[in-house]
Amino acid sequence: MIELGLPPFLLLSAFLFACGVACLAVKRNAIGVFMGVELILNAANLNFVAFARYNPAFRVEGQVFALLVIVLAAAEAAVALAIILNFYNNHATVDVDKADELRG
Amino acid sequence: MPEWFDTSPGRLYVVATLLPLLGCALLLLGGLTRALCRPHRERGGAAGSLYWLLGGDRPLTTGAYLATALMGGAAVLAVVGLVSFLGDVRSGLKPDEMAARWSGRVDWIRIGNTDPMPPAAWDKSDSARLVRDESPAAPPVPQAGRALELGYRIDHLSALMVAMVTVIGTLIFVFSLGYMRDETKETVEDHEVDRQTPARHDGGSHHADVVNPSPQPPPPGGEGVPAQRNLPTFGSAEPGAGQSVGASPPFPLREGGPGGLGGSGLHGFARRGRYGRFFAYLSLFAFSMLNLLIADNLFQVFVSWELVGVCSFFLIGFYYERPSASRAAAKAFIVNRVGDAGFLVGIFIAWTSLGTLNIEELTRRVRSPERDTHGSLEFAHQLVRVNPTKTPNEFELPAKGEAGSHLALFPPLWEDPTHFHGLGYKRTNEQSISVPPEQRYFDFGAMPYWLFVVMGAGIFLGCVGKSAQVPLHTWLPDAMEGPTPVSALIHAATMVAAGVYLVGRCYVLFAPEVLLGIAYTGAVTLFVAATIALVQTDIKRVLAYSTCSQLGYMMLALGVGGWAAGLLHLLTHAFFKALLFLGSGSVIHGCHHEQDLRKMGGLLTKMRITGLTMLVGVLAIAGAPLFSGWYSKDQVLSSALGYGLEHRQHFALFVLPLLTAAMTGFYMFRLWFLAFTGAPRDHHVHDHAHESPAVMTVPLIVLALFSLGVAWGWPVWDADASALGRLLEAGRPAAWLTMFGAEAQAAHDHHLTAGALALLAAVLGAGLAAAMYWRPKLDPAAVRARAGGVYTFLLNKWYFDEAYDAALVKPAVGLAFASAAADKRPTDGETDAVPPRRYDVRTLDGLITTAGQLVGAAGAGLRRAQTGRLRGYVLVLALTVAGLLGMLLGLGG
Repeated sequence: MIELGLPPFLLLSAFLFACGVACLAVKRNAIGVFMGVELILNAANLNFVAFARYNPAFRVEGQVFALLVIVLAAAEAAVALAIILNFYNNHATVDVDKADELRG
Repeated sequence: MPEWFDTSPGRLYVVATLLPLLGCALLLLGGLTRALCRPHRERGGAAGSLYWLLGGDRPLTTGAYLATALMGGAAVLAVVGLVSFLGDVRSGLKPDEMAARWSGRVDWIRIGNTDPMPPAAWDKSDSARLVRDESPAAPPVPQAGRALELGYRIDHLSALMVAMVTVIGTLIFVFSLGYMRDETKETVEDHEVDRQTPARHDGGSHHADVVNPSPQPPPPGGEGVPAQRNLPTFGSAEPGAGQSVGASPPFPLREGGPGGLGGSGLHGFARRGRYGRFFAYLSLFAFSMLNLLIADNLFQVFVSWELVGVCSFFLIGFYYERPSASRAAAKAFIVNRVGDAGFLVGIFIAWTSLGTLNIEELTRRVRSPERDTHGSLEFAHQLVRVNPTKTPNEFELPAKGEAGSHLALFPPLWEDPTHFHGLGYKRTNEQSISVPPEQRYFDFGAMPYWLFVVMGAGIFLGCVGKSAQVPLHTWLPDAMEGPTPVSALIHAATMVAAGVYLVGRCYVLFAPEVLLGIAYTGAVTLFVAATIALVQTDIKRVLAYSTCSQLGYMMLALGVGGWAAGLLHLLTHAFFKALLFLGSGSVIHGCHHEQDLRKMGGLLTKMRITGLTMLVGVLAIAGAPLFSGWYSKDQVLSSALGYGLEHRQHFALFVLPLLTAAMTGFYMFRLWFLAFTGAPRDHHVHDHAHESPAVMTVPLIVLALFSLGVAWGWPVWDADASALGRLLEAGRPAAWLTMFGAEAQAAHDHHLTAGALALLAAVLGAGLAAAMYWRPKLDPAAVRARAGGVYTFLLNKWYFDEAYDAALVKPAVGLAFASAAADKRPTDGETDAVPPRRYDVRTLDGLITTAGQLVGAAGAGLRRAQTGRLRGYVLVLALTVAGLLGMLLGLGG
């Protein structure tokens, strides 16, 4: 088995993160934005497990945090979908640009 | 719990200090709850019944009893602490063991390193004053920031003082239970307000309005604020409840006019009784004073100092509806601020130049240690004055017979031998005292000597204000407006004692010049105050001036090197002055609030206990042999004589107190003869006079016993053998002998002379009083006529108030009026609705308006950024992160 080393994982994670941020920045659909958030979370997750693998000091912590993030993502999905549904009920759209009622 | 006290019995004192605070807090809490429940009083329910449980419309007495009990508990703890402290002293513990058992501190605010280091390690990196240290082998410098601490340290002086304050305080609390009984009523009528109010309306003096620019708001009270009351006399105007802004406070609606009809049967000003509030103030006062006594650093002293000041403000202004009382309270507060400004300057200098506020460390920093690792030092306990050399931050001893311009400072932790290795000056005067290279991380610095003098003078100025010394004594006689137990508490046990106590505690921080100033201040004060006391006719004012005078004795004694003498006088004086004040309170109570000595007379038959106990007090203060005042005054005068003999040019420091001893005998016996002997001068007063209840006479008897015997020792007839005095002598600061060795020897040698002269003077004074007022051989009126101008001069108290009025108040008022006039547009009418101001709109007002407008404009601009567009936010976020990363890379690269 080829030992890849840490950098490829980090690069992949950074790529995922950039994708997530780009998704957040360009999507108008709330579901799309939400998917961007999921990408960012997974980028973080990848970092956690990669460090857990390659840094003996974080062997346990990295995995524990990855699990924590997964649970967090699940919870977040539930809440975010509920919010989006409610927003749709009230505005008949999921365009985040329409959600500017709290602007200054 | 017992082990907790066993390992560190000093905690007894902390608990004793906190008990009165607990009493105050409970009273406040009770009052607050009652006030909160008040709206429910008609509806019943839990809140309603809680309201009635907490006393309902009548002030509750339980809280007062509770506060008294807690104060008693503090007294018990203090006495236990004193006994065990003396036990420790007797068993000969080493200083560091004593320190471990009887002191403690916690950092409160620390600047710099947060590691708990040896507390006083000097942070050498913070100042260029310290000697440079370029030795490569220097071990790591222990970094310890400066800290503000809360701490306590018990020594002989503070142990005795705490015991005295708590015991007297308890007696005063008990006395107040009886004296303030009027305040338990639902409605108290204060006739004094009526008597004073018309005088206020007919113009009054500017002085009054300026010294007391705004009417006193009601202090936060232990009994809550009575809101809308059903009393017919109140209407809807609560006195001073916030609406009283401006120069003319709204006076409460009174039933009828000054000669009112009194249809409802109420005359004069009516208000709710303030029993609980009084005890809350007393408790807070006691707490502040105890905290001041046990504090081990100047900052804590200052905090308590201000707390004591504000409590005295509340207590003097307890009858704040009376214009005179609220004025007196404000005067006491403001005059004390003058002194406190000096105190603050002293603290600032100590902090910046010496780096610590802990009194013990300050001592170590300015006084040379007794020995170092190489043996004993020539300059032990002295202030070492040096001159700067050409090399920066190095100092050398001046030639013999010259005084250097700087004061050498010493490391605060000098006991540790490794830190003290290679101290640069030993035995020889030629050697430079700059630190040799092998001196490691504790080293000397120096501060300008004049700055050190200013520091001492500043601290002393604070004491001048608090202890009512000339020229800041004018607040004290006015403070008599407060209820009599307050006068006793302020004038005997607590507030005025604080100044003398602080001088005693900071004794070694005073340069010789400052000590001389202290001595002269004391001498002038004792003389001036005594002369004024000769002619006063208000029973409490005589006592107030006598207090001033006695405090002058203490300051004098401290200044001339009688450390133990001055503080012994402080302790004994506290007992007999509390006795005299409470006695006068009993007289006033018995005579239905008549304070004028000219209307009394022949009261001994009516008030036997009060009269006899007061006689004990009079004998004690006059210095009759075997009474406590005799021992202390004897020592004070012999110290003064010793100093006068050593320094002939300062012989006045003995003559003035000797003269004053005669005057003390005169005015005290005059007071007693006028009040208690002879024919009644006012039959109305005499007929209605009655002895006070037991709750007031028992404290008198106890205090009389203390006044008689508190200074006894064996043999009783030897004025030098006072046991209390011996205790204080044991607690003298270590540097005392170096400072005043010769004077102390002279005082000891001439002790008998001084004592005999003082006794002779007192007898002469008392005899004169007897000849004038008891067995009239001399007609007081004739004496008055012959004295003429002097009498008027004294009756007007040396015109101090008038001088201050002309020199300070009038110019200030004039300036204020001139400014107001300049700000007025010529077209503005007197009754113009628009505020008449011309420059103000653009200057002070404009500044504040501009600041507000700027903030508003900034907000208006920034709200544009809040678009509500999610994508915009994300973009900004991403760009910011990218920018930060770029900066990071740039820095790293």
